[in-house]
Amino acid sequence: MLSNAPLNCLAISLALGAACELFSSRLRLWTYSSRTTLVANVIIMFGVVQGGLIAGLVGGAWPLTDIAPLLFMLGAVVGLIYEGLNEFVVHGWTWSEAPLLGLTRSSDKAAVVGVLWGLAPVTVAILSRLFSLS
Amino acid sequence: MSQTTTRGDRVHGAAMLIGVLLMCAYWIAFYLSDITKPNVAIIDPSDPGAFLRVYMGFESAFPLADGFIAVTSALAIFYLAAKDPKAVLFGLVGSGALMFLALIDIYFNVLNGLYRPSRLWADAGLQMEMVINVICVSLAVVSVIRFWGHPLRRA
Repeated sequence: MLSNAPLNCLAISLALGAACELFSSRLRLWTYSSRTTLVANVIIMFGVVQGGLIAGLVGGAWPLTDIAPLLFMLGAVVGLIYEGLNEFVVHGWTWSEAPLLGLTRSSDKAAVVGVLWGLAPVTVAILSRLFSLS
Repeated sequence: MSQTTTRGDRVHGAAMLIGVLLMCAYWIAFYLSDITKPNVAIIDPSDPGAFLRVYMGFESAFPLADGFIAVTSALAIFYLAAKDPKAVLFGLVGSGALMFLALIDIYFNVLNGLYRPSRLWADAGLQMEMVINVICVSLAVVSVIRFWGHPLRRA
């Protein structure tokens, strides 16, 4: 039964994270301070936290319509904390001058991307059900 | 945007962050365990199944709206740290929504007799509900007062 297993979600989330980073690097939306930060972002934040823990463990076997609001809530709250820590404390990546969804200030970009993190576990939960091997 | 973050802002931000994290923890516990749910056999011994369906139907409608509160409150904390006036906007929106949902929950519990002292004493799930209701109303009132009087509102 791999449909909602954390490992299944982890794998999908890693692929999603890699695709997001590839897409954003093409558009030059942000720049990482080091390659390690980029890899850690994909593996830890995308893969383990948003995919394995939130979409996989919390998402569990509940129907998507029941659990999707909670997955979005957890993904967005964790995302906002993550983006806030980077913006105000860690500075692991910096935003480029290019507007993002019409926004130019880095704190606004970080806030919007923080909320958009909520879509990550929802997307992973949907994909894990679509690509269920059971 | 030259205001500095005051000690009051840091305490308020920390209280809101704890509230948001507790809200997330509550819903994780709701979906993964039974510790947040009242003992329906105490509430309606004659037909516990019927009340369970009503209670679960009612509670299960909350996560989307609670998610709205959690995200707007997290945005308020974020912009408070950034010393940005949008903190006031998201703070007032989140606080108003928190009060609205708390009052719906309280009135449901009152109408269905969940807050009768005899039931409250016998049920840890109901005691947790009452504590959450009190915290939600208190945090909403304090947040509205603080955000409305905040210097960022006039920035």
